[in-house]
Amino acid sequence: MSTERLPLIASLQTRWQLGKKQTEFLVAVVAILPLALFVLYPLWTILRESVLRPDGRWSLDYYARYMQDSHFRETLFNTLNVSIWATLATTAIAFGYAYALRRTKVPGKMLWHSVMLLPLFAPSLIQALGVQFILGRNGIVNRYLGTDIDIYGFWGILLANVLYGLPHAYLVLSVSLGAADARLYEAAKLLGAGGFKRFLSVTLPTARYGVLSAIFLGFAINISEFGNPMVLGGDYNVLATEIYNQVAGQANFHLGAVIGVLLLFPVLLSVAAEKWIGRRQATISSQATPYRPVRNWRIDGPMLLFLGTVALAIVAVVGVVVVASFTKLWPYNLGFTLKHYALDVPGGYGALWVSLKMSLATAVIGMVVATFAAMVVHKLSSRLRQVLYLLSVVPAAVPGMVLGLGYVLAFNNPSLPVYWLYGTVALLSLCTVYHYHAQAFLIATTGLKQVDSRLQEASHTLGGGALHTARHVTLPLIRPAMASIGMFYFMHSMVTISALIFLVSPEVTPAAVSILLLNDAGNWPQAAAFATIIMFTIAAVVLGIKALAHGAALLHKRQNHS
Amino acid sequence: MTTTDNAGLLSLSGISKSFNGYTAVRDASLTINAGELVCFLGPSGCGKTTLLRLISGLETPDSGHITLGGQDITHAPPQFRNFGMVFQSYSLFPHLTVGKNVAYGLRCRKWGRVDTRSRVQEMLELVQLAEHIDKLPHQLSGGQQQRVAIARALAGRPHVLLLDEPFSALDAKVRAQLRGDMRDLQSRLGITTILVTHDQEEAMTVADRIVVMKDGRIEQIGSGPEVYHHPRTAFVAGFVGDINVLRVQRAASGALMLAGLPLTIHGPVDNDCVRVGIRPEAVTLAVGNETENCFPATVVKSQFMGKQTRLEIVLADQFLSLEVYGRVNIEIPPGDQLAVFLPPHEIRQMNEH
Repeated sequence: MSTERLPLIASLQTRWQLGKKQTEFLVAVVAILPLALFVLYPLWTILRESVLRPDGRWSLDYYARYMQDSHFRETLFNTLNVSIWATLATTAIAFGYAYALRRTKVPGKMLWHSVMLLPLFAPSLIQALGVQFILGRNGIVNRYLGTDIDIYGFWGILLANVLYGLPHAYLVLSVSLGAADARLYEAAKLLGAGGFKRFLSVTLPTARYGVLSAIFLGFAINISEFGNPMVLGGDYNVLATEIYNQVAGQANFHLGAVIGVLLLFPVLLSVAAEKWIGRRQATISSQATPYRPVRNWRIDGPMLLFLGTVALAIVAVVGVVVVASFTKLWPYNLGFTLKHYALDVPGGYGALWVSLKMSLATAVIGMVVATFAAMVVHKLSSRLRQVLYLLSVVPAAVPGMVLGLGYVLAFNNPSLPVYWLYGTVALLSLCTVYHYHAQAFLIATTGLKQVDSRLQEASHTLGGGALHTARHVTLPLIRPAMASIGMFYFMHSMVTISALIFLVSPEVTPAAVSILLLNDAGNWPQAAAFATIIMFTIAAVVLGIKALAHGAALLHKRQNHS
Repeated sequence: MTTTDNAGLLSLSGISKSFNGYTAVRDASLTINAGELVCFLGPSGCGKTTLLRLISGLETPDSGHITLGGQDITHAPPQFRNFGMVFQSYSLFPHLTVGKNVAYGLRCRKWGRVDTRSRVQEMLELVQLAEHIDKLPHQLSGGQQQRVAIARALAGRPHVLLLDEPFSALDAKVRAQLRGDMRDLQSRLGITTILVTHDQEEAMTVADRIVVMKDGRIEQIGSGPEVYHHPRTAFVAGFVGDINVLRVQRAASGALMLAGLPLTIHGPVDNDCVRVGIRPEAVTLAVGNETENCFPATVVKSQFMGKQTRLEIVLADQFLSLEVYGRVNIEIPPGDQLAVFLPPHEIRQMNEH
């Protein structure tokens, strides 16, 4: 064979070996730096703000002052109180729902499943608005039943939080209950265990990690929830609203930072616990026989009733917002009108435009950032890999309020080279990108794991270097995962409030935040109209992109056949 | 066993590789000549695929050196080696057409547009798939996909072609066909080729030389007939076909004894020889005129297999199988006494290593 090109190998090899270590290091730094700047630095700023006295000395004075104040102690107690109860209620209802769908033979499983996931596609404030329209001071219940229910406070937050958290807990429990081994049940039956005994001795133990996971996940969501207590809290203060009051109301950044840190730690612990438990989740052995429920109306009947009740609540809360947005004066005059869609408030449709701009930017930036981080972690062999991985998943444990506050403290600083970002839509996008970085990163990682590593090896043996292989093999093959990331970011960016509430200005206010401001101003009908518009915008964009993708696939097929 | 022959194109010396404490390849040395087709043969887990990956550059050895045409390429990354590689799972890029798959390596190596196009055409004609140039891999059968993979690997005029169990995912008929085509192509192009396989028949059929591996070690290197007729270890003998292994005793004179009778073998007897081997087809039924190596035995099992009959017999207390070819008119029922002849030149001394 021709060996005339052999000398090349040796010279390339030395150059390559010299370059390889440096290149790996450089790539890792390029991936780590933005995470350090947009996640670690804001968190560090909060921590510093909470212990830095005006005279420049470090102390725990602010924490001491906070703890001595009975009002703050009450806030802390309220937060834990409502979060724990909401978490337990969410987990119990979600368990029942998942159990009914996974372990009984109720009819209409697809429908029940879809309804449960509906809230994920709606602005997070929709539950609060819906509860208000049904049970609030001017709610339909008080109006037509003549009752005098006061929902504002503990019960309002509890109800809205439960409705908001249900799909998240349901997804975890559904996976956990789906992995059932019929052989265990048969063994228990042969040993003489009755139905209830089997539930206690087989079902619960095999699902215990799922239940614990759901509890920790639910707690992390509930304790950092901002929109629901803002709308329905009344005088019942919780940490998330207290941060907002201290910072936005009284410009007390030190106390805001202290509360931020107080909020950060339980969430950090919950998320860490959830991940730890998730890893121990019993995997079902490959010899397992899948559990097949049998028809038993004594169980299926009550279960159907239960599913119907929960599903009705979910649909009613979302539906009432849509209906209210089209009525003249909810609940007094139920005549049809489109006037609330005029959005004649400051901002108006401009806010929707801001939201769309921001969400598209978030989708694109997020897609690039998360995919890049996942690819680098996938390829890297050095210790920097662990650093990058940890930084990539840490945002899952940072409540939006805390991240947002960190952004204000960190980037509202003219001496910073990236100060120009402050007050721009770009910073809102970046904040959202890093707020949801962990989830997007995991989608990308899963996508990468599905690409057969032999394809990359084939590319290397054919002469493709790392960059060439990434561009021509890996990236085209993970395009579906990247599309999922883009979609994920778009949807969350359209509805998120908590991280952005500190970063908005009159010129730059996304639609989801406008809902909150409109509601605060007592302009409920327009808040409802805006929430409805957001829901339909998301649906339209998601369906539009799906249709485009489908069309592109068809075109591609036709070209290849011609 | 190592030849430090400078005529060798590719040379491995003292290559070792372990993964998390598990040694996959230990101290492998071997020289492959230009234009030769060498098979790495062994059971799964013997290290043959790891050795191939070390040669390709996809893995780096812990110790030892690999040279190509006298140059050390031990640490060169795969993209600089220009070795064509074909995987068991085809590994065609699913998002690229057949033509673009074949052109991939040429693009990486900065071939011009015109050269690339004509080379792709040429390669696809070589594997008789020219009319499928615009299809996507999933529209082809497994055998066609593997032919595209071979075309892709050969397009860039590689120094060495590496084939990692390329036919084992195909059904038997396609496998035999493709194996033959590949061998023709290889000798026509004269390309140095390494084929990894666990199928001894495949290795026998196509290889110039066979490298038999076990537990990460090279057990024997030799041509097919060499390995078959002169296995150096009991493992090699058993892996490249069936063999009867018989314990032998030593007489005071040093002569070998089997079942109390003297056993003659061809050539000098090793001092530590306690076992000999003989292939079933080499054992014959005694016809009466033999002067040595005739042993009485009892039939345990007789199995008619068409063109041959396979007999299981007991010789003293040791089991032995033999194959009787041709038309056997007489029934040989279990329990029959008979005499077998072990031809001296067919008996091999078996060492553990």
